[in-house]
Amino acid sequence: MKKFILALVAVVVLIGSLFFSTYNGLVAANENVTAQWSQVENQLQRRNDLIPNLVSTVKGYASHEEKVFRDVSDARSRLAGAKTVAEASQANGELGNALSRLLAISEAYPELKANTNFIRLQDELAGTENRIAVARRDYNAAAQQFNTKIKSFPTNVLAGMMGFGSRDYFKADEGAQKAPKVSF
Amino acid sequence: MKRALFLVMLLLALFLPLTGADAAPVVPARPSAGEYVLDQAGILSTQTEKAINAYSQALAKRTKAQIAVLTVRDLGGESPDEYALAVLRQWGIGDKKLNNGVLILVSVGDRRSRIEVGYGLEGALPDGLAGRIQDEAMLPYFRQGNYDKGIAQGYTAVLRTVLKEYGLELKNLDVSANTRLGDSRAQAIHMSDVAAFIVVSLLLFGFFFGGPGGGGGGGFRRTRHGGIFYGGGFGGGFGGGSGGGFGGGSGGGGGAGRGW
Repeated sequence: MKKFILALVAVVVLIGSLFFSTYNGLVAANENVTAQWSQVENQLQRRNDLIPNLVSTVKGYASHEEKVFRDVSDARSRLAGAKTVAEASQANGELGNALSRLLAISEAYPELKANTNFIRLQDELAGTENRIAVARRDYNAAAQQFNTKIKSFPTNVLAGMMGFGSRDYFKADEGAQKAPKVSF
Repeated sequence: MKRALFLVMLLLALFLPLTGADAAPVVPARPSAGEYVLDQAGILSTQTEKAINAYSQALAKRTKAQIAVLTVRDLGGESPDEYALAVLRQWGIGDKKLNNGVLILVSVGDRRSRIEVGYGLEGALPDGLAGRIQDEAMLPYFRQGNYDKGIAQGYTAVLRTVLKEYGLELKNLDVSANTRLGDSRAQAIHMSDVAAFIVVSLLLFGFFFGGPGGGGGGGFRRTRHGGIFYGGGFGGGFGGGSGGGFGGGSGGGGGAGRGW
């Protein structure tokens, strides 16, 4: 009987410590997803800051390409107004498309293409697009890790009790994947 | 009862979540400690390799920043962006906390290069500058097939930029004077061999064609000019002391790529 109680206590302690470590693990994973998301937002903001410069440089050589400038500015404000991860990924794809059309204009303007400021801005934009892609990958990996966690047994029981819901993925739609191919 | 406990633990162990691995490109194993060059394409001279190792060692000692060079035959279908980032992260170039690493990647088969910049140096070496360094210092030589010189020049430009961030210059780097002397002596022998060959050639030329054979040396010397690699000291050799490999730095996709 004594042995039985001892074993019971051991099991309770084991389950208890498992509970806490699982809970802490969930919190940490959830925080990690949030941190990765803010990295995505940083990079989106970085690109956002880059756009006025790029647009004004292109305007200096191709002022009559009104439609592209308008598309860029529309997509830019839609992305700025995005509230959810899904909205952001949608708007991000559109902005990527509009920007690649903006860059494509330069093909028709040799002087713009050779402008060192334009080349620098193109590099900055390409680098930022790449950073967004990397941040998105890191975010999705973190979200996947978290989502897998809360869906597998026995963590799912605890996650359900504590109200941890799964996190959205930042999908790259076809537009965003094809997007800013900057060629030299 | 013990058996029951064992069974419970076994059951719990079975339900531990399995984590899936991220599909990053397969990259070469990092070079051994104290080495900053991996020349898989076989396009670098021993001198350039030695010099890069010596300067990168001295730089890391002084600032913890690390600059590495990787040349490959091809990228195996990967994009240069993803490949370079995977190398930077998996090798861990730069300090773990400062993330001040830079990778210069050259793929000969794809005719593409990329300067990948760690988080901590994005301010010092912005994408625009990374692109310009390739445009001005590397691609002109790559287009002539002179990878060794292009990489040496590109490396020097990156090194200067990183040094500037820490308020330093090339001359502040402690590249062992002894090694340098030894190397320049070796080089001097090599140079005198070449010079002897030219003198003999000119003499023979003069002998056969009856004209005076002077005046070739200056032009020859001018082709041996250049950055830190070809100029005066031929700084190189093994820096000795602590190497320790890479510091565990990371990056987020900063930098620029080029094709030629």
